[in-house]
Amino acid sequence: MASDRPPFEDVYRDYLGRIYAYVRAQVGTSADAEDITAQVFMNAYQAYDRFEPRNVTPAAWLFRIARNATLDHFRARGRRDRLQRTMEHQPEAEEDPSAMAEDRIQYQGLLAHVARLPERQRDAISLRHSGLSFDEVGHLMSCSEDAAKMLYHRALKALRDAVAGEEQAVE
Amino acid sequence: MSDDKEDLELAALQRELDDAFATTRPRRGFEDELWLRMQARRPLWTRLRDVIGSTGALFRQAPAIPLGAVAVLLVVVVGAGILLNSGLRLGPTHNSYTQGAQAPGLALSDAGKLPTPALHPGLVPAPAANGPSLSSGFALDQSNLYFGPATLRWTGQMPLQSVQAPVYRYAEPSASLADEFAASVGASSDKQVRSGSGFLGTYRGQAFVLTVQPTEPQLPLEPYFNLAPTSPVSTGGADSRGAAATFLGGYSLVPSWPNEVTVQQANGHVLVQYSRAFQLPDGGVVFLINWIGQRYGAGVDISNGAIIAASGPLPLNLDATTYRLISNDDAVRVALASAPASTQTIQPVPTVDLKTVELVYALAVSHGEGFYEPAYLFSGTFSYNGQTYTKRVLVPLVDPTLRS
Repeated sequence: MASDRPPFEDVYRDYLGRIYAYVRAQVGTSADAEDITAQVFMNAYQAYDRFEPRNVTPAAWLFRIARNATLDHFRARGRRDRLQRTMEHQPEAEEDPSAMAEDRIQYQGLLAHVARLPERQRDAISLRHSGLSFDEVGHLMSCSEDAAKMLYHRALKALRDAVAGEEQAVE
Repeated sequence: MSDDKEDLELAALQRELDDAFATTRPRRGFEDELWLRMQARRPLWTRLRDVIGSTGALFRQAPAIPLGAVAVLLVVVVGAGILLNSGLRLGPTHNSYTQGAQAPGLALSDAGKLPTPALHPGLVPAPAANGPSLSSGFALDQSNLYFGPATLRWTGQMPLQSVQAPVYRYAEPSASLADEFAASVGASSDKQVRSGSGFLGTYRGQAFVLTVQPTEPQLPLEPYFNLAPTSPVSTGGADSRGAAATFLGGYSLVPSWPNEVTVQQANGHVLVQYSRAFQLPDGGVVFLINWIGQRYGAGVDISNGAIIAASGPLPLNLDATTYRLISNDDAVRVALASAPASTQTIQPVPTVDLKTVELVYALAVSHGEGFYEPAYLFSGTFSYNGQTYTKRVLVPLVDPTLRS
């Protein structure tokens, strides 16, 4: 039965900002974050008839799509960047300045640190602070709730050390 | 480090992360743009399903309608629904508008006609059975707008004077024009930006970055700039309006066009908005409205006492040309006969007394040009499930024979 399914418009309105923030914390530019967020909701829109709210919450369902889209982005970008650097002998590009201009982000520095964490740590922090429970984080990351908690706390300490390291470098 | 101190540090970091994720949001307009792109990609059968669904509800209200009439009505409604959902508009039916000729001086679109400005709901939610849902950010006041079908009556008073207002046109700016604008605010092009990112240009200045975007035709929205300091700029306790003016003044970006300044606050954010207006030849001032009928222009975003971004229309040269406009009486007739901007309906179809009318400018774009056209914005309210909703109707004033 599809009767429990909320209108897609409601899901879109409720989750667009959260999905964007999750994606934006993973990728370096707002342009990429917009592209991926658009892809997430296009995919979700097409698949919404098959979404079964009795089995999974809209949040868990959407964040799974967002996580897959973000991983696809990194795989594709990795291939593209490696190829381009090989062809042009260029170093890795700096962050796109448009990222800062297009976002309404107050914590750019902190999110930049999140984006530099190892993939699973970055994911655990981003999913948890996007409002998911540890149980949901564990499901999405294919591990137990306890393992998700441990991974999150390890990531939190790594993030604290990274922020502190930068502050010491500035002093 | 003691355990207590470490716990405190981690707790503080968690709070900061909560704030960071809660306040990171896409640029203004992205939400509506993406929704429209998704709607545009909907397959035809799903549009048909929606139209038939809403029509079915109508028939359940009137079981005595003969089946033959139902079939004919269904064909008409479905056809009209497809046209509306496709973004197409039925042509004007006023036979009296036959003597017009194209005004000289403007490079016009297909068949030498102006595009037609129109309202559309974007993401404004349809009225819900349990009252309006709350949106986030500055969209709160949009939740009580209704774009669906309604029985319209005019109970207001039209202005006695007929309107004398030109159409203003801009040509889509080139990347070099965006470069000139960037140079005028002290920024230079940043070569690191990938091509095809949808920007006319991205730039870096001293302690700020700047982007310039082209026209967004789906909304529509004119070319605009977005300037963000690389670190939030504290307002130093100054009032939001003054801080915004000082910030814009530092880049010579205080609007040169007529404007009205308003301050909106929501969830710790403040938006200082400079609503854009056009000056008429007789000295009057007419405000520009967007696709849901709200005033807009330039804006400065302030979050927790710090300026985080400023945005506004790219300064462009405007050509002004006078077109023949319809009379006020005709405008009322067009308003009452107008098609709804959305097929999302409520039952029973509300009756709305349109009581107010405002002369406005609305943007329509076509073939690399934007046209600010004069229009009347009619408004009226009605109650549904204990909530008050506003119905707006936009009537373009340029003679229909001169518009596509």
